[in-house]
Amino acid sequence: MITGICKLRREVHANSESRVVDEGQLIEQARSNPEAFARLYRRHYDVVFRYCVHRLFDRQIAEDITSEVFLSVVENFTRFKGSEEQFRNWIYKIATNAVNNHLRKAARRGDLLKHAGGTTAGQVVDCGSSSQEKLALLKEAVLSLRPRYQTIMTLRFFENLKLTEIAEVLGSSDGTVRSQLARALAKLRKKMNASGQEV
Amino acid sequence: MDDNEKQFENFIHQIKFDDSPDYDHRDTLEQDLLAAIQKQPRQRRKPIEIWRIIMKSQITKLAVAAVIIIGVILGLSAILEKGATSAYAIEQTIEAMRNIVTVHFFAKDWNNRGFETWIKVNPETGENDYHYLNEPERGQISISTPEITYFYHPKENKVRIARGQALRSDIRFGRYIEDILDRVIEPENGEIQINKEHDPNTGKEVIILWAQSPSNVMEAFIDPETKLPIRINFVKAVLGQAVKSIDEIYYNEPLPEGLFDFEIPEDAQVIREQPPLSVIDNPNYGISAEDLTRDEARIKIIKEFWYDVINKDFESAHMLLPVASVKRLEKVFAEVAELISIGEPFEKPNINFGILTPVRVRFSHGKILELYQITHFRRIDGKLSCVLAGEGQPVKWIE
Repeated sequence: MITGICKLRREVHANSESRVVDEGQLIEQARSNPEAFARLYRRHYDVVFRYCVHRLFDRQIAEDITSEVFLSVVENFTRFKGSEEQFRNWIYKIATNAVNNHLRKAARRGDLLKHAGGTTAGQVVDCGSSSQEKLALLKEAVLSLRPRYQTIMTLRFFENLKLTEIAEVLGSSDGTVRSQLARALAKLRKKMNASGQEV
Repeated sequence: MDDNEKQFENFIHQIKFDDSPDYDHRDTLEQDLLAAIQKQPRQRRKPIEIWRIIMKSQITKLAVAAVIIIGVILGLSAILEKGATSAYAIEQTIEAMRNIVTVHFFAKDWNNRGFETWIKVNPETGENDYHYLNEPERGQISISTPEITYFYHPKENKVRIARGQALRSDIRFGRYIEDILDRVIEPENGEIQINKEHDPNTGKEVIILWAQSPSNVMEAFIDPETKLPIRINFVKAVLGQAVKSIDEIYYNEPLPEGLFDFEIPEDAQVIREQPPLSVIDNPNYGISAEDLTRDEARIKIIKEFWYDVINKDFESAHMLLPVASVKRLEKVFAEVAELISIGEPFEKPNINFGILTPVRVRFSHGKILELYQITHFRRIDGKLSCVLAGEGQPVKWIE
């Protein structure tokens, strides 16, 4: 499926909401029943993959990080004792750490932006050079932000989380997230405006 | 969402990007995960249970066996933190905190009001023996010692004096992490996670101790060298937990000279309170207990409180539980749908200002919360009345 990011994320969340009714039970079953775990996994695969791809702008790396995230979930699942909503926040937190670790390593290698730039064109789908250019600019601007700002921007604009939900994922307060979001957005706009793209 | 955010959202609306998952990858990964599950030991020990065993064991209480215990604990911690940060164990932080003599920190409450605190810790008990609290936004400086407590309002040049240590906390700073885990997280069968992350504030790698239960979520940022927390956030906390975040912490700094020696300024208005003045002794709050037995009054105030909460009349509920603001009550109890039971009262040694009553309420999502409400009786101008004075730990969800 190829679609605008915002539209898509709403669909994902609408589906998620209709599932929460029995997810608490599913989490309990998944502790001892691999089939139930597989169901739980399939319910959250899309959310994790999309979060990773929106953070990294690279499908291949996003798949690798998604694998890492779910292996970590398997490894640590016995320690998770929260509700279904907390499960989603928990996996967002694991994914955030995994993506940030990847970004740090990539930054050390100095190849992140170069690599990301190289894969942009292939992923933009026949929607004219304007969209392609915008995506490239967005990607460069987002990846130039601090990892925490990137996380907040992605969770807010791509995953459509509320500030309180982002605060839960980051272990921060609503107020801090609000101010960091404003700062991140200002930096992003400045960066993109400097590249000639009005946002 | 403000205009800037809307504008940005419009911008990303215009971008089309293939972010659809590849279901071949999903299916392959599923097989890998199932294989990983099969490889795991069947009887995998749960970290929190290990924690409980350690904390409740008599052995841990024997100082003479400390050396052996540390060895055991470190061994268990290797299991506990498998896959996280094997070089770190929570017990290292617990031990480090037990050696604190003074602590100086800057924190925020749930209304985002900043305050500064100095504590002289009793290393034997971990208790906050001497306490200095500066709350500029409230315009109050409080100095509390085991003998006396002063509340000074510089602007009004007014001093209130209370007998004894009136700045009390269930959580001892010298035992901060263990008290949080033992008294707050563990009773609700919470979980802990340990990760390492780059801390943009310090530019260093820090250990993140994430402790979570249904009602409480704490995140402590721990210095890998000293093993002491450098920052603590509460993402979520039960009613009565005053501190939202401790943003800067300094350990074992020399105390400023005379910090706890308060001299009453000249011409200051002095009000001597006995027992320590607080909102729970304000006659504007609570209900009259005249013509009622204490038990009848206790049940009446609890019933009235929950009646107000269920009817979303949080202002009235606040008049019965004044230690919680209207906003906080609304945030915590907005979804309460039914009062299920009021249990028999009992006393707790560390709560000397009221009796506790176990209360169960059902939320609209169906879960039941159990909490221990404290009823405080006072006689003002010869008339008996009572007020709700908070909750004792643990506050927990009952499935």
